[in-house]
Amino acid sequence: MKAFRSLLSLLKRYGPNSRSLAEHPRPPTSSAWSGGGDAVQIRFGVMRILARIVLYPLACVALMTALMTSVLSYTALEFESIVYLIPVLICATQWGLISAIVSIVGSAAVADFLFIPPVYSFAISDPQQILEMALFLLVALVTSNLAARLKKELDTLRRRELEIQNLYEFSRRLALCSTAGDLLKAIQDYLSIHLGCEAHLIHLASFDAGHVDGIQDMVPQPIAREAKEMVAAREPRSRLVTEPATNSQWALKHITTTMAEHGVLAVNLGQPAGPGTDKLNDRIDALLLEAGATLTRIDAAVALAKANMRLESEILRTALIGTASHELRSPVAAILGTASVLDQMLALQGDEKVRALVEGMHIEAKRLHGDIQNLLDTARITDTGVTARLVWTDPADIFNAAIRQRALRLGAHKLKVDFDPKLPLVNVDPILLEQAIGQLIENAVKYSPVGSHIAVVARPEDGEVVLSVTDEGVGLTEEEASYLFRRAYRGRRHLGDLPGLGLGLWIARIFVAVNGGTLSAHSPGPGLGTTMSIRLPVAPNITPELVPLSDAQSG
Amino acid sequence: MRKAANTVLVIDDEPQIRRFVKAGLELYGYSVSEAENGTTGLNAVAHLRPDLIILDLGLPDMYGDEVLNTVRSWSNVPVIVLSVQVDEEQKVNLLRSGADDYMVKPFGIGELAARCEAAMRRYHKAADKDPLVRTGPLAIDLVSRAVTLDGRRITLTRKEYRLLHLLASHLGLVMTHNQLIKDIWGNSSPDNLQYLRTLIRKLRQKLEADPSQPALLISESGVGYRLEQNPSPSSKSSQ
Repeated sequence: MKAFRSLLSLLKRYGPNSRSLAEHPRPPTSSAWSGGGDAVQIRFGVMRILARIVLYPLACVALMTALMTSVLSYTALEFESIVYLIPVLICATQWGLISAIVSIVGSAAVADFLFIPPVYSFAISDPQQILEMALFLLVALVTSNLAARLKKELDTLRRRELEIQNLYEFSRRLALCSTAGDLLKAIQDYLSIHLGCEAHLIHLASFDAGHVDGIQDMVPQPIAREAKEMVAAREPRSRLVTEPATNSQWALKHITTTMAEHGVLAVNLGQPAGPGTDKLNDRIDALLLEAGATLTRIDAAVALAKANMRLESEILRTALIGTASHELRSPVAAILGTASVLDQMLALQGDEKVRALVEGMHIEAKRLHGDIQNLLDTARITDTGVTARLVWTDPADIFNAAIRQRALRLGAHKLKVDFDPKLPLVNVDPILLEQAIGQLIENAVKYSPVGSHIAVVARPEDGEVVLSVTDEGVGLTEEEASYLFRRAYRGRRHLGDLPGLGLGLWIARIFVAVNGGTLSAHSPGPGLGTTMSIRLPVAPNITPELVPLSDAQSG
Repeated sequence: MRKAANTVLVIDDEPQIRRFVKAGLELYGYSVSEAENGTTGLNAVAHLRPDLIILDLGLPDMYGDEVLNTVRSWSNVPVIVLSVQVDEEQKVNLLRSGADDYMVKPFGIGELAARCEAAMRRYHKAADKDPLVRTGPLAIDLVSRAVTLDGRRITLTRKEYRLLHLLASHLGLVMTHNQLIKDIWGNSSPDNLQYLRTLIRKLRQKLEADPSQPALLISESGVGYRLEQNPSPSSKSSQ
């Protein structure tokens, strides 16, 4: 019985290993490994293994012995111990090394007892027979070892093949997935069918909406809590968590792509932490890696579709704005012209009261014209883009043209002009730049009190020309300073009392940028005024002083 | 000498624009006729023999420059072009094709009347042979080449005088960069624009009360320069 006990210890060592080699899926719940009422199941498993390594080999040996006995009794053949290699090989290839050893021991015992003289005794009289028996044991051990190893390799190969087949099936299914939902369902199915793992996807929305109860229906509370933490920490990878109640290991995988966040996949690995769970975890990771590319593709397609939709509506809106503005421009031009005629008539008649009304009408119509122009410019920028037609220009001329255009609007402010007489020429598109400066002046007028100063400065600085407009107006908050140049941004402070579309500075920034310049805003704080500066690069060798004047020589 | 009532022909398809131009120019003593497209406009030019044409570029039946070229093929009547576009290249091309000046919509009637006056003056100048051009404090004798500012003689270099002469003989009208460069330097290499800018600066130093805010030598962005005919003393700035 000593031999039997050592066999049992062997069984304990190889047991879990042989189990993980099994191709059959484990039951999806993990309870078999921890619950008290499952002892029967464990005992059943032990019996099966015991049959495989003891009962079957011994049965083989018995069968062989019966065969041998009948053959020897009807023929004149001599007994050869080599025939017992047959059951040994069968056991080695069918049930592995241990059953092979059992069959070797059994064969040796039976052969010695029944066939080797003296018969019916374990003693061996002939030294030749002893040698033969020893050889048999050696050969049987070596061949059974080789055969068992072969079987193991074959098993591994077969399992790999199955795994590959499963993965192939999986990737075929992935290819058919058109939404992230399909894909995650496919992963869940794969995990439960092929790995026998219970898997749940916990959507982000469940966390956001605080539906922790809903999550708890799917996974135990500690797992849900852990998953929530993971999302909150924006952890890109995975976590292994042990659930204390059942002592089973859960793998949590954060499913994200660069474009979207889908949630956390919680997989019940179904056993306490150990090499087995690591292996499973690796397989799940491999699976998610496989699915990752598909998920990215799906997310990209979704993002693209959304962007396309936005773009289409943007194009439509731009076209609409363009057409509408164009149609509006003529009547506004007519109103402005008519107002100027009225003004002239009233000036002739000396009717100053009505003249003031006409001036109000003129200013409003002019503002409307400015808004329409901004909408048209926006449509132009969005639609075709703007390109600068560069010509050598005196920056002071651009500034003056912008000021002249807005003489009426500037009437209520005190304008201070300071242009450096040594301003270098700049190679720019004067029309675009004039519009940009015009926007800065209009903003200065709009956001500063009547009667305050507006300073316009043009000076060279560090190889650049700086054109700035400074007012004594409302200034900028930090938020306003950072969003100022965004399209359609309007400071919250002014939404109620000052009209506008929030396009002016956005347009100005683009018009300056296409000229190779930069536009920036600086304010000491709310209520402390604002300075808007345009910086334009100057070609180093082109300054008025360096331009040869043939005129100077001749005249 | 100007005729008692100069006839202006307005060719524009938009009635509301014609209406205010007519009412406005009549205040300035012009007699105004209207045409709503290029064909009737050209007929009217032939029959009415107007003293000035105001031509809109966005006509339904013909391109504005077609009308301009047809008119120019038999008449040198002054033409002022109206445009909604802010395309400076188009303006330059029209000026080259023989337009005397342009107005960008929206415009006030005062500006238009001033341009009409300037264009008409230039048209009649050829016959008047009056050599003296006056604007604000500036007087230029185109024959004796004497330039005075508030009665003081101003010495100009040859090129400065050439530039001032060109602008003065088109008083109140825009001269394109190319027209000026060609006349002064004899060629129109784009590099010469820098010489022109520098020359203008030097001239402003001599003529303007405040050279940084010129009242006489006005730049039209991307197009050219004009010598202002009724300069307002530059009082906007309070230094």
